[in-house]
Amino acid sequence: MISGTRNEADVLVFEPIAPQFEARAEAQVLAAIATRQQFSPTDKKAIQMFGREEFRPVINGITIGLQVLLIFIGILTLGIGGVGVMNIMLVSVDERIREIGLRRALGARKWHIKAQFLAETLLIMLLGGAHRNRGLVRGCGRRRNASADGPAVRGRLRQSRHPPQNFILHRHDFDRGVAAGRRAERATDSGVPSRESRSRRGPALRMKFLGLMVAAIFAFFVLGFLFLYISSVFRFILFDSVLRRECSIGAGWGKWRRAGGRFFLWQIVFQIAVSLCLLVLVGVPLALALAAGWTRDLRAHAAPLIFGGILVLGLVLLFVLASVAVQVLAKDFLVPIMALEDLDFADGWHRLLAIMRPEKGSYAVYLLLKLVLSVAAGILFTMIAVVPVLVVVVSVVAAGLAGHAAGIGWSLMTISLAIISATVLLFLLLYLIALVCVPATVFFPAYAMYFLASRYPNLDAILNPRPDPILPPVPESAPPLPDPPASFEPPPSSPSPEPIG
Amino acid sequence: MGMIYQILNEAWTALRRNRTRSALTMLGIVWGIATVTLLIAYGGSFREILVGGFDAFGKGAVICWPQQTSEQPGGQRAGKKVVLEQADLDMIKETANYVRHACLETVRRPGIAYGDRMVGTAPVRGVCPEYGDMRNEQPSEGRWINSLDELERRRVVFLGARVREQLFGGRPAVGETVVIARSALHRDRHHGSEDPVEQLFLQRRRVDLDSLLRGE
Repeated sequence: MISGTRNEADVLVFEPIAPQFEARAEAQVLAAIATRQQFSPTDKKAIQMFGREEFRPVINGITIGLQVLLIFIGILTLGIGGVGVMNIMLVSVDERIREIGLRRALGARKWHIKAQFLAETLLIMLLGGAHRNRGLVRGCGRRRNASADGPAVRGRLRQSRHPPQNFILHRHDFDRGVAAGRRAERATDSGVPSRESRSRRGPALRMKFLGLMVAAIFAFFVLGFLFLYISSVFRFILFDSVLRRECSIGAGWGKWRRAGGRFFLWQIVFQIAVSLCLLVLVGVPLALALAAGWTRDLRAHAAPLIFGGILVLGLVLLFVLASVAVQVLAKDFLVPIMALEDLDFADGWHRLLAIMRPEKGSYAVYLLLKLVLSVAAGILFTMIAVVPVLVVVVSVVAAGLAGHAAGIGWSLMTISLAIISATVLLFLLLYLIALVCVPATVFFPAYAMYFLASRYPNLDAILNPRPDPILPPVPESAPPLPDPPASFEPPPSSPSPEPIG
Repeated sequence: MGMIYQILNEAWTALRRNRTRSALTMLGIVWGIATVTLLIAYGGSFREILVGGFDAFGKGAVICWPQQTSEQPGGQRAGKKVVLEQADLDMIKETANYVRHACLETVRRPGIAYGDRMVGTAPVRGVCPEYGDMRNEQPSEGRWINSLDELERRRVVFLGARVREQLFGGRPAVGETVVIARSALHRDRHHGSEDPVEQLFLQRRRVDLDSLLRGE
């Protein structure tokens, strides 16, 4: 039953006197075993060793890097908020020049005026800060109680890494202190020894993980909505730019913000509807299978499960295709109609369906053609976009190797530098890829526009303006012109060009 | 005092005059502070969770697996199999002054049974008392093996959370007797720490580990 010699062990576990002596301890252990078993003490392959210190630089690199990046983003956000406050104060001073003049005329000094505005800003800041930190005040009392109760917690709070230089930055430590305090309260209340409290880190870690997940989901939704809004407005700006053959993002943003907001509403409604439908499509069969008890014994119900699965998968695929088609129609045709007639999305769809009704076949062909062209363009431009990616990646690897050869290791300084340069490079890369893909970005809206123009007179009138009828010059005091002949008609417009492709 | 009151009063009146603007400015401040706090907390917690995960493995433990020699000192052949024995451990304890604790570990997979319940796949590890400190084994009830257990050759076992769940369900386990490879062991401590690898520990005995596992 048991293999091997009687006293032969499978593994040796040892602990160095301190983490920084791990390498020396490993060498000593290897030397001791090598002396006894008569092999070379430098033969590292004779015993494979795995210690945590080997991974410390990696963990530090990842975690410090992430912290630096997050703090960098946080400071940027706070800076943007600060600029907003500065702007508002500027406006508030600007619009009260008369009031300031009156007060000055009545004898107020400069510092009176300054104090007035500073007090106003201070009040806003205090109110804003009070909103944010209301929860913190409650936590304060708990921490005081906890640190009076649990000696282990006092130790933890004392060990806190960051000195309390800044109220905001200290909040993180504060949270940790409060959490540790809660743990200690639980431990001391139940009379469990302090060693027990360490074994309860599992639930606390899980709670932290849960908190992280909630924060991540929240951030995902906020960023998703922001991106959706910006992309909605930019859809109109792109349409306008292709139509007028010139691009101005600043002016375009002001011009198309309202229309973009309406399209954003459509996108939200559409996304919610698609998610709900998918949920029903997948959830109802799954619930039925669960209720029928098919999942309990998979083998007995293999056939209905497989066929049902294929059916559901087919339905989901069909639904996804249909939603993609609706999204393409919205992007290509709904946007021009909403832009030109200043409609909301419901009226826009109404109008678009009325235009589409007589020629359903050609719209279906358009969708198919668009699919084929998108795939072709996707392949082509991915191949082209690989070039800037390669350029950037090769230069980064070369820089890394050069740094490694020069003996530069990971420290707070180099990690910060690496993150900042990686951010800059990422933006550069995105810019280059966007630049390379400009032909595709312009071609598809232009294609859609010319296709729609031959069926939608409002767009046709802008794309192919009718030349003004040539009239003879009117002299100053000439007799009134005779009425134009009843059969006068403007010259026929040039035929609208065929759709591209 | 009156002056300060007057200034604050004016500021308050000005804020109330432009309520939307004041509210939006406050929202900006709240958003900015909340974002910074959230991001910093996010970074800190990420680090804590990562380090916590590594702590579960052991705060300073180094694990060694014997392999084969690759060098040929003094004309000896390479490829000799290295074995770990008690004599190696004694040598390490004698000569290696940078090592605080060292312990041999023997792993077998005999069946473990309690009454009519049986677990046949969990690894059974024979270890020494210092192992608990090194691998950060935190008991949820009972205690870890101590030197008295080793001295008196007590037949005791420290169960991992999953084995305990499989054998005992929700029932109290301290003081019960489990049978390992047909040998009865008094089960007076069990293990329920956050270590995901639930294992079952046996005291390593210098001489009769094999016979213990065989149930002799």
